[in-house]
Amino acid sequence: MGDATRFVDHRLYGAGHPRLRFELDTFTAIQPAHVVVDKGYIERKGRVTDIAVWASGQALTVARQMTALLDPKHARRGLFPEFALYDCQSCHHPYDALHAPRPTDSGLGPGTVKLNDANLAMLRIVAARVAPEAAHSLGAHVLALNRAMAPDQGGDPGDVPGGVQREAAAIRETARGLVPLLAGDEFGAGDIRAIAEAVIAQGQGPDGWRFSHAEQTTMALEAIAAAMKSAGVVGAAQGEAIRKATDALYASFAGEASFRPDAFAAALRDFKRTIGR
Amino acid sequence: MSFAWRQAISRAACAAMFLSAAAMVMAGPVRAQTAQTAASEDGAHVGVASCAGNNCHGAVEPFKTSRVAQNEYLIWSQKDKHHKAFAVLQEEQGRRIAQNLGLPDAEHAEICLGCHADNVPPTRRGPQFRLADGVGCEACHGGAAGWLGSHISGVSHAANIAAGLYPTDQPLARAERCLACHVGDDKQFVTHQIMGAGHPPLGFELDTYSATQPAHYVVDPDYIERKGRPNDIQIWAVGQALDLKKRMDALLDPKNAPQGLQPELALFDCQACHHATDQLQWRPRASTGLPPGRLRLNDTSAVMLRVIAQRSAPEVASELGAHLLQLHRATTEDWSTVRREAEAVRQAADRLIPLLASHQFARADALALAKGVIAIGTTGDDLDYSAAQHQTMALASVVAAMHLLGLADDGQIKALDAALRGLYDAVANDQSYRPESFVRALRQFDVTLPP
Repeated sequence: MGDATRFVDHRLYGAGHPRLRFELDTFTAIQPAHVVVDKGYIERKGRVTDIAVWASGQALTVARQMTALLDPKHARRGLFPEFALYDCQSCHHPYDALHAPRPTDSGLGPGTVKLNDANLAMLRIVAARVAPEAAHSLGAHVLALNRAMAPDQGGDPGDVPGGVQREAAAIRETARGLVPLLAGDEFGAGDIRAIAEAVIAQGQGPDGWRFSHAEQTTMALEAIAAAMKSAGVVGAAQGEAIRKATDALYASFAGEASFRPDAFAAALRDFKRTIGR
Repeated sequence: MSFAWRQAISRAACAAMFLSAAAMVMAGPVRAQTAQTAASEDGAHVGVASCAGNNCHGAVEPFKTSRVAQNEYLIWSQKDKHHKAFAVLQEEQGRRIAQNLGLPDAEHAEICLGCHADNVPPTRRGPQFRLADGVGCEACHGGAAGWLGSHISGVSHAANIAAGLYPTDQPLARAERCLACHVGDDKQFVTHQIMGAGHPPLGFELDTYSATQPAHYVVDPDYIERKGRPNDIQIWAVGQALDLKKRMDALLDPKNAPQGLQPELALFDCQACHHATDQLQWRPRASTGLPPGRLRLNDTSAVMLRVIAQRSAPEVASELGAHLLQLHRATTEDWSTVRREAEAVRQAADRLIPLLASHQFARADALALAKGVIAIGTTGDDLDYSAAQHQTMALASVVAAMHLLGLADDGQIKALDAALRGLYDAVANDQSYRPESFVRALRQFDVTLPP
């Protein structure tokens, strides 16, 4: 995600830098991890669940995104904001029938560049289970942030709307507050199942077809599947079915150019069936 | 988005295959109130039915003894997408766009009707007028109430013009009329919001689209006697100059000023953003000076106009090039500089319009302009997809002019048409476009040009 001293801006992307994609739990595993969580590890460092890593990773990512949005270095220069903070595929898509526009949950009209809010969507889901008031606050401020960034808010050309600053700061504060809460949460079997269902519902909702959301949804479900396995709530056969369903989710968007929302939706339905009720 | 071939020989025959599904959709919804498509002196619009009689413009077969073919209505109603302009508002795509824009429907929306119909006020609609006829005869040729009678009686073309017939045979008048929708103006403009709702992007070049519409006239001795011999290069050149002027008007329009965090994205090059992130688009361009990762204004007509001006008004070409560079740079700096430089570019285009509208483009001009257009691509100055499309259409206009004006023999025209085919193949689709293939086709066209 970067920080005040290291940040892949859109100029770097335009020069050829690959798109940054990240989810803490997934990338910890596929790094690959050079740790084995065994008795010795747990005795010395305690048990860390995949779902807590995923959830606190989302909170940290959102907090860093808001810090980057508030950083004066990334304020609008000339006519444009720092595009690296936005959802890549809200612009980078072909304009053909397969990518026909659809309404999103952002509250923004068609033809607007959308903020990268896939992590925010995930954070709202986990907060809704663990800290409902924080989830409510995030929902309200995200809507207000998107509205503040919309192109029809008036003001003098060149002005960065004050609402953007205000709303980004509020979201960052909420996300920062959630980090220790999520990192320390035990996440019982009921929590894991409820979060899994909410992530699937998000993937089937108005924003589910967006590439960035499909990507975060899939990585979230992989973390949740790992947590289910660790918690012993799925048997070997079901675990194998979930693994195959997760692979199918990834296969449905092997590349952003070949991403087909319908294939993702079908894979998501299959995944839902494998976790059962 | 796809893009198909225009051939100098038998242009009408190949016209149907030229336009992509996206480009064939008419210029589309407009921003604000009803577009007054006709000037204030425009008379009442009597309706397509008034023109479509068998003995008027609705003949099944061309009239051999008449000055015009008289099958103009048939060509329009069977082959011309203007005929479908209103109907598409009621189809699935039109309904979806309206829904995405929060409109009850498209066929009653003023922002759509300005370009998808001959949307004159009800007080100027005759008894046979039907909005559902789409972009009908009078949307381009003007309200006929004042001149229909004398027109039927067979008066001269000049007398028809004097009585109110719109002079679409004149390049500048044609450009004004076509670009009012195909680029837009202060009353009607396809914003990025409308495109984001599903409206296809607007691609347009006056001479190419005149031919591929398809044209419902034949340039024969009768035509030349009454209207003069059209020159495709002049039509192309005037079209580019007016296109640039109108783009600068749009950039300077306060409605398009940046508000919130985003400017009006419809003024920028589509493929600057609309490509996969793993397909790098940025290349250094001396004429923009822009670093990677920046959106660039759609400057295809400016680049073409600079080439045209280098031939006919070199001092304006230098001025245009300098201000264009400053304009691109200003988009990364501040809005007031954008406005200043856009105004300077607009003025340069405005100065060129009368020069180009009166210039007789001859053989030496045709060859020099072809070389100039080819150099844009082969020097790597501009190899963006939109630029490659416009270079292709420009060279097609040059070939058409060489053919019509007798500037090359049949064998040479045939060879040039084959080379054009290679260019069209190279720009057939924006997603599969590869600059290196296009440059190869440009070099092939270059060696095919007569000395």
